Amino acid sequence: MKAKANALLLCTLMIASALAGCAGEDVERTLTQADCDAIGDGYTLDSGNNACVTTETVTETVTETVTETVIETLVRGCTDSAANNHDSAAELDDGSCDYGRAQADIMADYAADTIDFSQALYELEVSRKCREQGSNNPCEIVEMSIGDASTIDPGDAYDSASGDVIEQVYDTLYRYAGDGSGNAIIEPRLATGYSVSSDGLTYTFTLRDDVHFSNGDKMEASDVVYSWCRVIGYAGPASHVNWILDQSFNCNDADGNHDDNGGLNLTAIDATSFSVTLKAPSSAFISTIAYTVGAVINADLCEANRVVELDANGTVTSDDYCHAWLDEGPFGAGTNAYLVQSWVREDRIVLTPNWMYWESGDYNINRHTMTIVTEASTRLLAYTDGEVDFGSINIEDLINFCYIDENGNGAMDAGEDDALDDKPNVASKAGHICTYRETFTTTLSAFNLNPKVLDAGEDTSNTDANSSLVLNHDCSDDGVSENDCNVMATAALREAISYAFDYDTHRRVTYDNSLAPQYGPIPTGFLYAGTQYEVFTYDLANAEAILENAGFIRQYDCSSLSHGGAPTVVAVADRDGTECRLPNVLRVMANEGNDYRIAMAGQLEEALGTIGVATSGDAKSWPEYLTMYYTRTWDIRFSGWAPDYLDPDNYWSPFAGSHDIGGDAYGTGYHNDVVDTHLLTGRTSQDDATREQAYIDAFAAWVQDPNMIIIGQYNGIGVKHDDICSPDWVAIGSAHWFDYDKLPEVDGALVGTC
Amino acid sequence: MRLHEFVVRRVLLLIPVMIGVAVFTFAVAQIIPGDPAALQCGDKCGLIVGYDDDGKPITAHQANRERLRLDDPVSLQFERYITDLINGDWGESQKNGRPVIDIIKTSAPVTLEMAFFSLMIAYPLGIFLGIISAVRQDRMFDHVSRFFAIAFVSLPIFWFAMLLQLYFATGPQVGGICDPIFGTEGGCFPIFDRHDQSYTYPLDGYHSLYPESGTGFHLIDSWFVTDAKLAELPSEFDTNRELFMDTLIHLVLPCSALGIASSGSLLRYMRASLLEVLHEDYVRTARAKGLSEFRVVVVHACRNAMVPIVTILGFSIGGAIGGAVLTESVFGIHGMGTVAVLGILQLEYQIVMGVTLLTSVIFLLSNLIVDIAYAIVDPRVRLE
Repeated sequence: MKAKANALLLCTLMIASALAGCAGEDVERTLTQADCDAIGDGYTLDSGNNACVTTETVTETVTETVTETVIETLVRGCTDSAANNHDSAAELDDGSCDYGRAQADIMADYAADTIDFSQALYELEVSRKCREQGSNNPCEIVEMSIGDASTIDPGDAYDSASGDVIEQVYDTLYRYAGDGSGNAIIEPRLATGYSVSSDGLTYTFTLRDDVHFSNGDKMEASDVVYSWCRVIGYAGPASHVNWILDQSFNCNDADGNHDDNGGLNLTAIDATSFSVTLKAPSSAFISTIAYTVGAVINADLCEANRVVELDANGTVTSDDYCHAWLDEGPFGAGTNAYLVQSWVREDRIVLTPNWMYWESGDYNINRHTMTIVTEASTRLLAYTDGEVDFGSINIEDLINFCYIDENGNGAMDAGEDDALDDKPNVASKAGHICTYRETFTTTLSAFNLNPKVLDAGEDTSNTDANSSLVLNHDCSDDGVSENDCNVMATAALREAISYAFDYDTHRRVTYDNSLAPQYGPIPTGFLYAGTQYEVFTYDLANAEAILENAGFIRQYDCSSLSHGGAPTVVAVADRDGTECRLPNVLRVMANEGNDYRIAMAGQLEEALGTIGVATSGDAKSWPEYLTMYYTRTWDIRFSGWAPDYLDPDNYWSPFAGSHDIGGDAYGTGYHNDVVDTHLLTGRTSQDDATREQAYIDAFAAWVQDPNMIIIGQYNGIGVKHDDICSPDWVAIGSAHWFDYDKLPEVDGALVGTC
Repeated sequence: MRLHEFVVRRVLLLIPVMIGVAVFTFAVAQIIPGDPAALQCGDKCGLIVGYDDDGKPITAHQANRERLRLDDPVSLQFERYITDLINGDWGESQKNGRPVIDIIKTSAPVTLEMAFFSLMIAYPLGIFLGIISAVRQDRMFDHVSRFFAIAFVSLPIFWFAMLLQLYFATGPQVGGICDPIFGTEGGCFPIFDRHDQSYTYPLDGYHSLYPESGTGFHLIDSWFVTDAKLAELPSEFDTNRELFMDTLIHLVLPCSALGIASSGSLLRYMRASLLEVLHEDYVRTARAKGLSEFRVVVVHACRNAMVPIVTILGFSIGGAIGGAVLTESVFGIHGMGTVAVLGILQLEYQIVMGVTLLTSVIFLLSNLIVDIAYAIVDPRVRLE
């Protein structure tokens, strides 16, 4: 920093000097022989008195001697004989010396009350602290993020930025992990196992008995029961994330305050086991509790910090369920590897170790800083300059660090970094590590089966009103010419639209190969993804044939069409093949700022136009877009979905389940009894084969009656400096810094390998 | 009218103006299309998050509308807003529930500090170069400075900020020019943020680091951090001077970007004003009396030429706060500009209204200062 302070001073002086120079008078001075003498012997004044010249001839003989120095590589390691890991063969200390007693011994003494908390904490820090030394701060990581967390209370956090912090501070019974092959798995954390009753309703969990909160309190089954009941009682007022637990069990107790450790359905059996009774069998249950909302908090501290207000009659008027205390991840609240050292909102979050963390092993990272940088160019500069270890880098900037090894020679050749199309085969330039990352974030286009037009003055928030539903088709097919539905309610029309979308072009061109194929609701790498296969392709002829066969013939005067009004039917004799097939114009929605969606909407509109389906649509601002969504004044809408938990039901039900089974998150009005039946089977069965068959059957029924175009799942490339060692990529959940390492840089070279 | 009467009257005038601003911003917030409840849940608003007493499903969107009381009549919402405002309650953020007043209290000093120092760069630079330009009219310096003045006014401020980052905040491998000259590592200045990354704040943020009676301006407060608090910081920040220098260094590039960009127009104003004054009779008289050119220009001409410069001071403050929006974004600084942008993007009306109210107060106060400054610069001006 002193160097920078000096630089500041020098800069100021330079600017001042420059300004002074600019401001000063121009001075002309004549050289004299004295000036030339001052330079050295042999210099004389030229005839114009403008310069000093020399006529001396110098003959120089250069003899070059090359001495080759062979540097012997020293063995690095811990050279301190007082350290636990003293290496007698080590010749150069690399800062890896480990001191103090073993973690297990300290924790055993703490559990036996032989040492108190402060002593345990001190000894654990001595024992577990990262001590590596290098010019690159090997015990610290600085990461750039584009958005700040909303809260570090797992009971009200439903955004990824919050989840990224929560997963460092709190633990769950199980968590998501990568299997190293691009697939996601669930691994145990606080739980050692569970059993399920024969009716599939009651889960009995057993827990680890060596887990302590960061303040030294022992984690017990009652903490888990309390944490889950708190989520349901608090009901996530800002995020509604409680729905993830709410769907499985309730926590009603006698007084409705959710504060008697479990109510009717959760029972702490002893310190290390408890049971929970579900509303209905759920095959996704373990996955739901692995989400951050299932995190375990310190029940005693929460109760001590809970703010309950009562009125004069003793009735509870407000209850924060200790949210104000938990909001910034306080000391003692969680059991995971890190503590929130400080959080300056919208600026940075600093995490430091929770030395009481139960997992064995020393810390590689003593300090993790997540700093918010919204400007992409600043992130690029900061990463390139080495001010940060990694962060979100725009895809177009990745060619500075990554390339595609097209010829497989292991080196970058000319042109291999022109584009990064073949993302799975990405390679890294010197100094960086580029990683292909397939995500479970899906992009799709939903169809609205019950579109509306708003009447003048109609309250836009009234999404239940039926007065302005566009009814222009006889779905009951009862022979009576009454319109009882919208054309979008017909499976044939939706199927035809699905064939009018150019999947391949959008994945390759629009998304610049950042979208991997996805053929049904379940993304690749997810459980039961193999139950789906490619059905819909870009086939306009097929789309037109489907419409023709379904009776959507060219008969309407296109100029007479509106979103909801009655169209003009062209007399048969006057038809020339340019008429429109549908009685209304389909509104295709995309949101401003999302060029991908706008491009896809444009292509779909153009394609539909060629087969006689009139469309309209312009990019709406995000607020307008969402308002249209909830007033149902749209027909086709480009949207997306990110996973909540690792179970197919988290995709299938919101996408294609009806409202009756708690689905239809896009408000499409879709209801297919067959699909619902299979989804319910998939949701409740505990048998893998049954579940697999259920999703096979659901897919088979859904492709006959699609309610959305499933376009693909995002993939991309992550980049970090080559001193960062990270575990396998996890497409769901967050990275865990305890599993990261940063190789020390000594004398310009990295010591060790990942 | 005496000065203190004038000040009191102008301060009282703030009240109706603030009411007007409150009404206007509330009306604009109502007119802007979009549903804040929908923005809260985005693509997942259709999720069923509960059931009502009749067993009817409640979507996340419906729950949000209820929580934000958006279904209340607009008149009721306005009444609630004004009543809360009068009671000192500026509402709270929908995103994280923090009181708006707290958000503004922490972000406003950051912006004001940046705006102040940018003006400290802009005014001396603009005035100084304007004077030289006028004195050396139509000579090389004048042409060059006018060219740069136009360039600084025309260049997008974010682009200029990025150039400063590239050249002065990075190492030579990226494009920086500092390291070979000054022997620094990774540029003369930090690329982004308000404090060094290794600077760990106390648990409850950097505000608790500073004294409770602190100004909120980090640069000033850094001098008054207690030894006990300093002891919590890493060793490189264990004195007030080091803390101060860290804070100052992080201000240099953003303030330079903002200040140099603003100096262009000031240069032009100053030059034009001084040229006009230099042709006045009293200047000729001063020269005829044998006064030195320096005294003629600086003492006699400049003071009169400053009147229009003082006039635009009020606007400059507003401009600096406006320019801070982009500058803060480029330099990753969390000030009022960033807060306002996030508020607008997320339809956080309470935050937008809070920022608007505060900005209008700053604008009015700065114009009040300008009016008072008139009387000082030009005694002929009366406070009326």
